[in-house]
Amino acid sequence: MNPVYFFREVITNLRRNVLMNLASISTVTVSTIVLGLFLIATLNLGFWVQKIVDQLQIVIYLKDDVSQEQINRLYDAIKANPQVKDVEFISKQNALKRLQEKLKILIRMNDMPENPLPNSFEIKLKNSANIAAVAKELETFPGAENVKYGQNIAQKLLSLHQAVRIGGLLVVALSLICTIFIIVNTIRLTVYARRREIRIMQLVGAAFWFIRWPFILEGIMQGLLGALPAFVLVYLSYLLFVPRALHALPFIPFLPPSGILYYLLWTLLTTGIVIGGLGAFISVNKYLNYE
Amino acid sequence: MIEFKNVSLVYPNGTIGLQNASAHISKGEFAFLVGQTGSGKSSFLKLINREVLPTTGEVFVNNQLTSEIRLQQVPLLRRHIGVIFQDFKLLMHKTIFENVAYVLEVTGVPAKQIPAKVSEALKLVNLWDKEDSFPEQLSGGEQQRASIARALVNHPLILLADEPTGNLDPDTSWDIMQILMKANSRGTTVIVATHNKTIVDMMRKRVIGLSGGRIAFDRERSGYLPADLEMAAREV
Repeated sequence: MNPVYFFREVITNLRRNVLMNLASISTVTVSTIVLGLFLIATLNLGFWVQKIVDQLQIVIYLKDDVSQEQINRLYDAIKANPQVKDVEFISKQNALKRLQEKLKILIRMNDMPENPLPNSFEIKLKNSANIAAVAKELETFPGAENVKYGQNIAQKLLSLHQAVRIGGLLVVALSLICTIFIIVNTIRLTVYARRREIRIMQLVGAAFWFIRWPFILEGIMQGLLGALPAFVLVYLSYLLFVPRALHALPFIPFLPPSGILYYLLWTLLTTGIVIGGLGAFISVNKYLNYE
Repeated sequence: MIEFKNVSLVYPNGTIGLQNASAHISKGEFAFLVGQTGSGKSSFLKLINREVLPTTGEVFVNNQLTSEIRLQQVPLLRRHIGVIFQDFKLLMHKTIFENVAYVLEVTGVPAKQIPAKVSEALKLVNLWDKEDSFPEQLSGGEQQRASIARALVNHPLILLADEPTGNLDPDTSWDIMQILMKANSRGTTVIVATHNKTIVDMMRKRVIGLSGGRIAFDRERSGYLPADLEMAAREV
């Protein structure tokens, strides 16, 4: 087996069957563009939901009779929990100040016998999916009066997050299947155009793999040449789209283009290469006589 | 070299290819297969090339029982057999040189030896000046000569020709026959399926007559029809 032979074979075939190859390559381009767009949409939706989920936090309201020393110990204990990303102590005074800022009015202390707000801790978790379990654990701490984490909202957000992830995976898988189907069929046409050739190869005593390899390499080349412009187009469009979108819809977070660069490149090129090679393999086998 | 023992061939669609055919062709022989379209000439050749296996009976090629050759070994058998066709079956997107060289590449001949062997084969068929042309640029006779060069470049033990002169004018047909004779004189066993009566009559070689898948006659130094059968046919 001579690899130089196979590569020379592929290059001459690409050159001499330009139109047929262009048809395959552009089909790969179009279908990987669609795949790429679905991929970006799914990634962004996931990112958006993740952002919201990340804002979930647990608040522990403390009893009024808890001493400063106990507060310090509690702070250390929370901080030591491996699930906790960040913890902040909000004193009674700070809580009141925040409330005043929020309500935009001055609450006159004289009107109230004392500050009704409790001391509290605000806790952010590394993984919000565990929020219920951690909250339950914190309830058992001495001095904790009440633990809140927006039970209802959190549960809904978390299941939305899950749904987006599974749905996104499904959408991408589905468009991947469509891509495979379209590309395999197009490549089958290029192989069909050369079915006579395959028969002649068999007649002169070419072994099965000797016949298959040039076709498979050609399929891989078609996949690669098709997926590369698809990647460039999709990435460039996203690069132009994000700043405009952020300007028009400032409240929606978008993934920075640099964050998806490698993911997109890797996914589209792999798809092109694998499907191109596989499509050629399937097609050649159809025309090989195994009798 | 080639032995058919009570060979019958029925295609999956029910068409009968051969019925209970037995024949022996020795090394270095030159034999014609004659008969009308559908008489079983092509089936006979396909059984030798192991494109099909007999439904019943046994076919031996080069002392190998074809039905016992494993699928992966079939290409190895084919490398001992050169084939030429009525429609030439050249690779249209390859030059004449590449068409002939392809057989050598397939068999793993070192790249350095390929040009010399290809030139030798193209000289044998008087086509050495057309090696850079594509098949479409050649006449029918030239294409057939190229396909013979391809069939012979490997020095095969057997050369099978399926209607090699079917699309060619008489003069060109003679050229082709001369080349097949040359190959035969180098020791290659040659089997030619044809219904070109003129050529078969002139050459006086072994003739195997097929009719409806059966071997009707098998004579040495014969015409298209053996003398006695021709007489009988005239009387009718």
